[in-house]
Amino acid sequence: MTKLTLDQMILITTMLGYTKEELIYDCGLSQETVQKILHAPQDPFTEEEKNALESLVYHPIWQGMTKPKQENTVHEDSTYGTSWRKERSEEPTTTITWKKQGTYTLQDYLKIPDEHRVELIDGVLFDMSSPYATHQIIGMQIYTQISNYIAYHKGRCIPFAAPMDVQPDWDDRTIVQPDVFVVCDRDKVTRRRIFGAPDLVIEVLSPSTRKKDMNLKRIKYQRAGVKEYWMIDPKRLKVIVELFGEHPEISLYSFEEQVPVSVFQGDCKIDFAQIYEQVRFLYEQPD
Amino acid sequence: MLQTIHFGKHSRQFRNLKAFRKQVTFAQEGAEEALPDDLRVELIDGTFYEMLAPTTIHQAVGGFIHKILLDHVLTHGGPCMPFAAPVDVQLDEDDKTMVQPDVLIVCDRKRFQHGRVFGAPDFLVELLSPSTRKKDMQYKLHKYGHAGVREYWIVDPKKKNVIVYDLEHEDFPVIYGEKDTVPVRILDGKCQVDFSQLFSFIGFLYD
Repeated sequence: MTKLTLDQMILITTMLGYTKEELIYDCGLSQETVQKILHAPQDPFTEEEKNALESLVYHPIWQGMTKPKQENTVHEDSTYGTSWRKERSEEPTTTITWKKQGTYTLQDYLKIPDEHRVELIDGVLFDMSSPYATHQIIGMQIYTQISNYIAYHKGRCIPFAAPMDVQPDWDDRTIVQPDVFVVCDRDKVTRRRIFGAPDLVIEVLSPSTRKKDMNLKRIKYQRAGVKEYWMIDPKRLKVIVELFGEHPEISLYSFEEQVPVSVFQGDCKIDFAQIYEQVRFLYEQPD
Repeated sequence: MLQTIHFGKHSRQFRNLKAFRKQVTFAQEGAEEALPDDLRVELIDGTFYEMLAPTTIHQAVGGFIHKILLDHVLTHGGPCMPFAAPVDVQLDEDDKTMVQPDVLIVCDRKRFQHGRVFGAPDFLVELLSPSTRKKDMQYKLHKYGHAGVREYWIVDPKKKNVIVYDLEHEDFPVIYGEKDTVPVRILDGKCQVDFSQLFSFIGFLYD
């Protein structure tokens, strides 16, 4: 993945025609940053401002184009699978049009090559960087414990683990990929994605997604009708459990406890002491 | 003219003292003045929420926290000014949202305009009651974080716990129990609210 230079980012921002108000209110940039972008791009930008700018101009094409083009030729030599592979790798560079953040839709999302994991929230594309080992082990352990419970009790609910597309709002402006989730209404499950809100959503926080998971996605899930939302913080070894709905509750657990899943009436308990045992060696590694 | 029609349409719901949620377009500034004075409401993103008269426990907890904050400011000085409800806060500096937090601190004196607080206070406390629970824990948390509130406490007088959101440092929600002493982070933790003292003081109200 090639990083855009600061000049390129500023150029793109102005080219896309964001207004000052959009930059401040919709994109959440500070007054100062916006001032710099629009009027004084020669001033030094802080790392934080650069990141904010990057999320604004982020575009899958840019990343898609940096991929070596010979991918086509490699597969032409093989005897099978040629045609669709060719189609897939050409598609994104030809058809996605560059848009302002906030105006992307499902159609654009589907054209993004599979190797770029992105999420779409209210028309804004978010890049999802590859998770850490701790993140993955915790997610998978929770998934395993939940699916064991469901299998043992022969339940109708279906557990999922990322990557799986979820369209919580039934519209084409939001598609998320929760780390672990459970859907009990089978009508919501279609071949390609989940249509509607899952019953339980679990996100493992990481430095890059922490803010998004705790604010934007939290309110998204709550409004969409998710019943229970877990945020797992591997850094502080805590689990925040929120019950949405008419009578909201919030509870905190440590990584030594058994955390009950309310969607299963507290009958299913996730053993975090056991999960911590699995990842302990990663915490003992020097950075 | 619009505002009277809107209010007229929903007046029945306002008067039967039920927790309700009705979508009302806040067409013009001044619509709130069209509501009767004896009816306390909050406006969040163009939706009116009725506020029922608080219970004695609710008021005792709010008053206690306010007293601790005020004592601290009176002894230590500084620009920060604590208030207890009702004070109107025009959170987003627009005409779609007007809230009345239970306890608040405003440190920027430029925020006091037209007898209200214009913009985000630095510190807020909401006391949960069955009718405001959802609003306080979900809509308001989101609104406050977005508006730039630095610290938000949710006190649950029934469960006797306090959920602290350090929004400024994006710190985890921390949950304190009824025996804990909770530091006010925006006052550098020097001001502390002793909840064990509070709950033993008002314990008789629970009987």
